[in-house]
Amino acid sequence: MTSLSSACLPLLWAALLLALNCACLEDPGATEHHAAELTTSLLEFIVKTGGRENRILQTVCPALSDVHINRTALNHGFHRDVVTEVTLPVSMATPPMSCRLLLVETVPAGMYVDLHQVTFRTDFGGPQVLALSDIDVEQAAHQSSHHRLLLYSPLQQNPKGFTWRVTLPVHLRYHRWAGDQGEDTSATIRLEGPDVLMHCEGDRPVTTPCEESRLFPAPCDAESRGVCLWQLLNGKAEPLSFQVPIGQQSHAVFVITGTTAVAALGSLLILVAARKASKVAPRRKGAKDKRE
Amino acid sequence: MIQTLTIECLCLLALGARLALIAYGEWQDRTMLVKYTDVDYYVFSDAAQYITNGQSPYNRATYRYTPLLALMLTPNIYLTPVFGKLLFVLSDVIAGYFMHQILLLRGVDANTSKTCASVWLFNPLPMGVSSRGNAEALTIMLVLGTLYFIMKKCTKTAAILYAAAVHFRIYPATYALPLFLLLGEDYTGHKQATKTMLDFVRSLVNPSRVQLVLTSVVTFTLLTGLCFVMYGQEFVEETYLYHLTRRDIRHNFSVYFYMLYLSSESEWSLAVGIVTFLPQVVLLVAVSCWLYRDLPFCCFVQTFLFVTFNKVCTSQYFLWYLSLLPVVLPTLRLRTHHVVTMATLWFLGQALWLMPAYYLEFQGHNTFLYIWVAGVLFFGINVWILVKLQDAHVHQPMFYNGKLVKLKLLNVKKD
Repeated sequence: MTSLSSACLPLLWAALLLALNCACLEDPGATEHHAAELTTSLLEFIVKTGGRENRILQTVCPALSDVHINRTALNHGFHRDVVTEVTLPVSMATPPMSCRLLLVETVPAGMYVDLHQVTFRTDFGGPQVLALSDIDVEQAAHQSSHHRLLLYSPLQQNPKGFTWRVTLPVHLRYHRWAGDQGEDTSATIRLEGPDVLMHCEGDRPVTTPCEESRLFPAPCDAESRGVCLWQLLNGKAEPLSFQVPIGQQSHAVFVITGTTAVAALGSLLILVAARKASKVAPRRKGAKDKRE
Repeated sequence: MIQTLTIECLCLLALGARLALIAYGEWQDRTMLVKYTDVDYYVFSDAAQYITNGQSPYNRATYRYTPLLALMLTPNIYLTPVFGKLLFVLSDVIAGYFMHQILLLRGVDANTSKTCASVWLFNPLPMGVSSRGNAEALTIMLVLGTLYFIMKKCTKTAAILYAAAVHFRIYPATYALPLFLLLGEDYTGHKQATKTMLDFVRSLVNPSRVQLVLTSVVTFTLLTGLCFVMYGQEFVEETYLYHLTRRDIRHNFSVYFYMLYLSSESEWSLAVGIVTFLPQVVLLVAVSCWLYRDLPFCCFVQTFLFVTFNKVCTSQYFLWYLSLLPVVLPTLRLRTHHVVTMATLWFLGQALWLMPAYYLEFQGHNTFLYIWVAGVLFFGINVWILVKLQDAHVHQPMFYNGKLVKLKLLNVKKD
């Protein structure tokens, strides 16, 4: 009975929140769609990982006017680091409040994040990451789909306010080759800006009422089973573009003919050598003695 | 120095050096972001962790080995995380010991045997690979053990080790035909007339061969059956079918890489499949039939060409044939400058490949065509080396009249 209720309650929450989000969104179509999709995937994850507490931890919503989100990509080639910096205004710091940030990344099909690599990096200051779905690290881009990640990392306080800096290692997937006519030597992958969410607890004299449409349920942190409500912050970083080299179909005839010829020639040479090698030595003792 | 030490001392020294590397690796892993430990080692450990939790090791994505490996590594969880590495370096050193014993059995003098075994024992490549936690050493040890026990004419022991080797890795399966052929009348010592077709068939079936086939088939079936009972279809898919049907389009040393990439999902696909499959099969069968009497050399050539003609090729595959090199060294009539040229070209081929591969992978330049050219060049170098080694090899059957034949020693000493 208890297990049934614990399984059903989050679902109930899901339905409720979904209805809330869809009904109350004031933003135009695209954002609305994005918010609905985000809620669905978050709730699916919460239900899937099961056993989370049924109580959802409420949040207080401090008024934030000046959120800066800055994104850069480091390195070149297939292995990149995406650095995200979120700066919150100084007013946040007084009076002190306990706030946490959550970054929701939507990683497109053309790239992936290796969770094992991410785990190694947490020992060196990297974020803790939850993936909302399984990630195949071997598939080519056109056989993959996008995946969502939740990034948790502590806030750092400095005189200017709060900053939050996370480095996420991403890998570009191999892409399908370019067709005969296509001049493209590379494919472009677009990584949209992340959703930045905040969860705050504590008494706050000047809190604005939380805007229902900006609230999302998500795990409180990467380890515990608790679910918190998170407030989606204003401000979105510009999307990042990545280029990944792709094979050229115009090389195909040349490469296939060349490879086949080389493989055939190589085989022939080895065959001849092997035949010779098997004959050099005498097969019987008598012959051996004669040779020497 | 090698001459003054016993093989046991050399093995202990080699083990000590590997243990030191493991210790260094622990330090690097703890202090640096770039890990010394091989990525696969974490995969093994995670798989072992799943087993200790009563789950399938295949819950760990990219675990593509027998569940027995994960089972063997459960002390990684219970005892110490370096357990697996200790096991691998130990196998590595035992493989070196087998090399020495094989050469002694073949009648190579003690000093040359020690020198040849040292080529493996103190080779930085296998030292690095096993101490980083790569499991290849296990298979390598089993393969060398098979050779050793075949030479001792312990057919059953050899068959058991052989079956275990194939269970762990697919590549030793290529030794099945030469092993079977070797166990003919020269091995058993019983001559048989082959006048009629029936005689010929009868000569194919002798007690030793029956023993070899039965023992290895039973062992393999037991091991594989056990795993199948435990983990079902998933085990077969991940351990064997994945490697057999593997079509990785990402760049690797294989000469076929760019061709496979460009022909993936195109009308060329089937033809390309045949082109990549046919040479490997024809060569393996031909070499088995022609060279089986000198089994170590036959296995060496088989492995070398298997890797050279494979659809996917990474540097850990090179160890498969390098591990057989020490036991064929005394049968090669090579001068120092030949050895130097071969080694230089072999490394140069890899370096020339690594350069465009680096520009592709880490700089994002479109260097596919250059990588292909470098792959063809490296392939050419490997073919050339294979041809040269076969020319330099003095083919001496291992068995005659039911007895092991001592090698007529060649002037292996480098000039």
